[in-house]
Amino acid sequence: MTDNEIIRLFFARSEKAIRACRLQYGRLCRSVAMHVLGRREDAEEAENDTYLRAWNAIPPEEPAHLGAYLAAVCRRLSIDRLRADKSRKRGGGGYRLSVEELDGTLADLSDGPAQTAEWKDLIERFLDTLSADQRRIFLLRYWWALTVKEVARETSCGESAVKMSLSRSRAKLREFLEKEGF
Amino acid sequence: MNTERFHEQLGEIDLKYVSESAPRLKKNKRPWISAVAAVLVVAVVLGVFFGRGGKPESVTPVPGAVKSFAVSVPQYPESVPYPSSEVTGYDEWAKNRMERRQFDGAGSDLKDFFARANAAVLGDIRQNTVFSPLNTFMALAMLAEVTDGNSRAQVLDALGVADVETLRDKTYRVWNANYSNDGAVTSILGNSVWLSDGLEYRQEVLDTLARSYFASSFRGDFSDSRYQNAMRQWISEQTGGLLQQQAGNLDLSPETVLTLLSTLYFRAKWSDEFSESDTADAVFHGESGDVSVPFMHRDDVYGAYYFGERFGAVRLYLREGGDMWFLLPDEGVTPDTLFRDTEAQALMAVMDDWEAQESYPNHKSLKIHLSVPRFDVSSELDLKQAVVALGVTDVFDMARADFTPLTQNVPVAVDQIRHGARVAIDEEGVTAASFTAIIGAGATMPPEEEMDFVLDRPFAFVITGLDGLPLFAGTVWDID
Repeated sequence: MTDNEIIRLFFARSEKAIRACRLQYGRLCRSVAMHVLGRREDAEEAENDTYLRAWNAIPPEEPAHLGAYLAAVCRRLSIDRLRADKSRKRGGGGYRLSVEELDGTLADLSDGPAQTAEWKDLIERFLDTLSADQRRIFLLRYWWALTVKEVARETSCGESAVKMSLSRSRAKLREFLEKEGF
Repeated sequence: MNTERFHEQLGEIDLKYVSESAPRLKKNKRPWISAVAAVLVVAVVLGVFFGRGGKPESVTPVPGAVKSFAVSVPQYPESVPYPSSEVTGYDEWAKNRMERRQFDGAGSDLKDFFARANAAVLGDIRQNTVFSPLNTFMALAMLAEVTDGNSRAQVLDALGVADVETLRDKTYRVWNANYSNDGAVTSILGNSVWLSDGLEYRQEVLDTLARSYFASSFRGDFSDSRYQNAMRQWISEQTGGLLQQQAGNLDLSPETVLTLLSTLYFRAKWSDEFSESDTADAVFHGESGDVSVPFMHRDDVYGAYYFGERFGAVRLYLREGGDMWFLLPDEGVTPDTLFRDTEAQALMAVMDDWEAQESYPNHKSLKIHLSVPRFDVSSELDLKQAVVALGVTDVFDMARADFTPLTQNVPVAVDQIRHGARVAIDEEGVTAASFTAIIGAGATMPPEEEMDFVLDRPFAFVITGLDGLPLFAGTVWDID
């Protein structure tokens, strides 16, 4: 089933859209949720919330990349859920470590832009300075919150090559943000 | 700068970045993933065609080892054993055989489906391929039985059957017409349904499947190796223990909720056996190169030679039912194209009908010196594309597939259609006889009275069953 067909089901208000999303992108969403939250039951709830959120948003929204859209919603909901649960502070291995890893790069810089749109523009401009391979490794680590080992498996690189690439990208990020005046 | 804020804002980037970087998640690595619905239709077929045999096979629909999973069990008919001599037991066997002939002709209006299926599956593959049109018909018929709405309508359209009631009657009769387990001819269509224990099912459908399709039904946990082993055991049992490799390759994901299985086990002797002393090595000009292989040889094939613009064909009779047809394309023509050739299709359409064969325009009675290589060819195919080409699409689409006659608690769609088949022809023993009469047969126009028909380059074959329906069709490009 293509994304367009699933979107049409959303527009027709057919609940089959949810089933189709679960079948097509359930694994992807659960992967994101699991990497952020680290607990299966939390991940499943976040996944279900994702479909509900999509059901309410489409239409009017009509995402061009449905899988990425659902993954982004799921990531956002998972981070919210993690924050709400103060007792656990930070969740699954991948996300917690990826946040800590960036702490060293960003901590002593001044605050970022006030507006979300400016943030988006800033980060996208930075991503465009990276090579395709560097960008994928960077996003697998910091967007998808995969562990270094998982990134290595995903990209068929050695773990040390992944660590090296991440380290260079972090240095580039810092340089980029400094130039931008932060 | 607040790192968490950075992470949060990173989540807002354009989806193209997200899409490009998405991980390709490995399957079955995450046991916590809840089950998704998928149905796998597997048609595993075996055609063994050895000039041996003699005893009825001990094939039962539900062998002891898988009994604990059974929820519905059909009853196979009794076959009277083929007599070891013509003095005793022959009348009883012949009476039983005549009674079973009442079902003949049930599938004569399925020819269009068989022709389209052959063309869709065999029409473009340039390697050894074996396909069972009849088995595929059975698997799709079961699929029609467990679906409804447009899903069912598309399957019925593809099969060329008006409605599901007609289909039930037809499958019942076709099944019976092709059932024999008397020691002379083994021809058994085995069907079964394998349900996940999470699936709520309607017993009436399973009862219909048992009654009209002779299908056994089983229920268990697909993530439990014992259940999957039971399935393999069932296949092995239905195919005389000769399909263990293909059965072993069946590894279903724990997410499977439903599997429809259909097997065909066929074994028969040549009506007139090849003499072992006439078998000798000769060169087969295969797709991958020349190879020296044993050729069986007969000088006394009296009968019709059929031909078209691009091929010639000879038929060999099987004892007590069925034929094997060899179609040799002309030099420069490949065997796959014969399944789209109108003259070859016209010949295939009359393979079940003696009288119609007489009216096939290009044939001539003469004495044929036949040379055919011994071969044992097998293939494993994914039929999904071919089935889509036949117009069946909704069952593959989770949003459109309608399996409500069978179950309503889990959405189900067909994930794949696998088809494994093997055909072997053989005769025992090879002696170093001096056989040299290998002459390329110019297929188109036959000579006056005698001709050589030498299958020494890629060719096609069709094996018809007890009532003339195509059990197997295939192409032989290379011989090991």
